[in-house]
Amino acid sequence: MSTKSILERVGAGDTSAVSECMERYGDLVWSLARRYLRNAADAEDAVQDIFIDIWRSAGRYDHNIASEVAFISTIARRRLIDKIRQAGRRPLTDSLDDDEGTPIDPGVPATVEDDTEVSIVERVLAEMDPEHQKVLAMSIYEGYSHSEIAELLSLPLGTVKTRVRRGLIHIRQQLQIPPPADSDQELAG
Amino acid sequence: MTPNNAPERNRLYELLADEASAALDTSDAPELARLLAHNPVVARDEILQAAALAQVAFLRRATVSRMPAGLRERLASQGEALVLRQRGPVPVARLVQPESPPAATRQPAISRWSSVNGIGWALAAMLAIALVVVRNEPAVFAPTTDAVAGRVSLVNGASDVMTLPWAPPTAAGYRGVTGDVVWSQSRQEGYLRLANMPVNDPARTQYQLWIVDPERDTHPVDGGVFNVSATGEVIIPIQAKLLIRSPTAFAITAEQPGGVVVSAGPLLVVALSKAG
Repeated sequence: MSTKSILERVGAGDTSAVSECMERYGDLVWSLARRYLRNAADAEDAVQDIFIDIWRSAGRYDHNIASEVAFISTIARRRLIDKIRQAGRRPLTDSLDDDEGTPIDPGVPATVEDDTEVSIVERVLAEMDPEHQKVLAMSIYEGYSHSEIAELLSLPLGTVKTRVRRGLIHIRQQLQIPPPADSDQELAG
Repeated sequence: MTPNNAPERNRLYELLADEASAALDTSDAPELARLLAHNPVVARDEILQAAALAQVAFLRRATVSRMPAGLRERLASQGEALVLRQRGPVPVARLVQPESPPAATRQPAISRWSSVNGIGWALAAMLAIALVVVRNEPAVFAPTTDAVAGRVSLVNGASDVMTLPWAPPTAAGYRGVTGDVVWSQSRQEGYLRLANMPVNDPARTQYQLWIVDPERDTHPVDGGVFNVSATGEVIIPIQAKLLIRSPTAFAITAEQPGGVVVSAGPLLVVALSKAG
């Protein structure tokens, strides 16, 4: 019995793993794109680019280095940011038609729940100051620009930028990627 | 790490955090590139991965939207086709006999690329300015029996195959080139058929295909690097590095071995869609 992961099987040319990958991660990627880009057409374009990238990058996946969720979500994030850059704008919050969300199907999030790295990040977020966490969520998850967050939360732009930076650097540290020198001791706050 | 480079390293992580939150100012991009070059132990994706996992963690607090079934099926189909094409190494080049007289000879001549209505802007831009093209690692594709079979399978099996003949080339040394491009949008698969294409010396130059797709981007998409080892007719699989939406032209340039991410042309052989 093969012990290869789905991505490793895709990388090895196993076409049956493609459908399994879509089944396991399709809704995750779609949801990330819909939440971040808001506009369904933009999300569809981005998701197609994301999966093309996944198929082509699968051969480089190594389960000893990162989980599949980390690998796929990192590709997804890179493409979502590309999408915003290409459009020369921030995500379309004024065309929000994102009420299609359905309650989580038990089959969908299960693989995410099993992911150690996601669990670490959840713990870090839970320990984070709620105001800082809110800024991070608006930036990373909902796709608001720093200036929009500053306006919506009545915060100085520099504060928003600092909170996002510190939050991400702190998460990176907790994921035990080798830390930068003299990193800020107040990141969790 | 020495104490002296700690501030630089911290600044690097700040800029990576800006990049990972889609907030990197264009004026900071050169500094980011410089700091990355000075700190090779820092992976560019470190903060991006942290942001990606945070995005997933936030998503878990909300609801998950179901991917539309049609999109799911289309992506799976494209994925299976891509994985099939990527499977195994590409064997040695092989020439094949023409299946029929090249269609390009039946097409009206186009004397100047820039005069072609609708697509001239893209081709002119490709020649006039340095284009930054999204491209992954170089890959070289040689004509193979697999490619021949793949082309036949595509033409016979895909319902949306477009066939674009090469316009009569005007570049010196390429005027005798004929053939066509077949492309299936649904499968994201296509092949070049080239007859009388000059043989290249892979140690000095390689051919590179560009796909003009204005619906996707103003920059052409890299369609792969390939060699032609003998005259006659060859079939080359297209290896688009990104999803193609509505191709209006396919163009071949000669580049340094391994190909380039920025091409200044000239365009040696071009196929234009009627829509372009």
